[in-house]
Amino acid sequence: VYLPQDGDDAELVRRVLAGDTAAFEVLVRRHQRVLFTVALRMLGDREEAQDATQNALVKVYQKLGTYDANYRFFSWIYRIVVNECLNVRRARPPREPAGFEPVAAGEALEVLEAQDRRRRVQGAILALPADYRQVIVLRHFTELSYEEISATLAIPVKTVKSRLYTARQRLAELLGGAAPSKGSR
Amino acid sequence: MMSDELIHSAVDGGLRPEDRQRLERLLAENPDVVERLSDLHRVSEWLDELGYEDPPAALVSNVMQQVRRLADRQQRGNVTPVLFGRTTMSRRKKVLFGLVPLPRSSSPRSS
Repeated sequence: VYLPQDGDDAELVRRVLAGDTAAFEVLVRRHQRVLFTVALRMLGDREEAQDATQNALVKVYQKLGTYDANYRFFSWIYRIVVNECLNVRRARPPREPAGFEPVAAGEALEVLEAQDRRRRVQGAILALPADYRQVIVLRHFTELSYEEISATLAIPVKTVKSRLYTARQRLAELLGGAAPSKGSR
Repeated sequence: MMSDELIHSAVDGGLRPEDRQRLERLLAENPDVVERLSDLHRVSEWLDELGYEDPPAALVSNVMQQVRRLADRQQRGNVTPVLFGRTTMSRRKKVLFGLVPLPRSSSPRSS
């Protein structure tokens, strides 16, 4: 997973704005995995996540001229992806998250349990209200700090923390006892 | 730092040494907090367990296909006003850039 390096991104952004579309491909390749993961966790469906990520990246390109270099580039693109995901969610009725990879017969109980747990955790994320889902996804799948999440979502750090606390609490309630333990329970 | 903040900072691994001591005291005095912290740690582990997902192979090419189309359009859009602004531009160049129609005499249909 690419760990954001502002200097590199800034140079690539400068090149894209000067007309070098190949530089944009470098940015897309660099950030696609985290962006797709964010979209998948927000939406729970691979096809929708692909569409949302693609649409968001095209919007990034279209809006690149409005990007303020005083802010971190990845915060800016994460915000566009999160907004795109919210639009997709608003446009369709709620549904069950897509299942994970099928389990082959005879697979170890541990593997089955891990897959079941992943499905439940993804389902619990989707059950969170959008405001809470955003902070959980950004915190756990982009490794942004509280301050960076605050900049990405344009909300105060205090709000980030309180939403994160509530979101984790709700996830603990939603998953409490239902998910198979990892042996530590 | 309030106890809630202390607990969640512990989950995030962002405790300062003095906060760590406060948390240890809190845990020693409140069995409920021990359980809560353990629940939150478990949730955090499960989230981490989900991990990253590889994007579909076509994602980059799909995006770049659209981007190149947009870049082409933008290029034409940007070029046009500049060319229109050049009063010395020859009619031949304007025809070349598609800014004016072909003269009737050079059109194959008109011959």
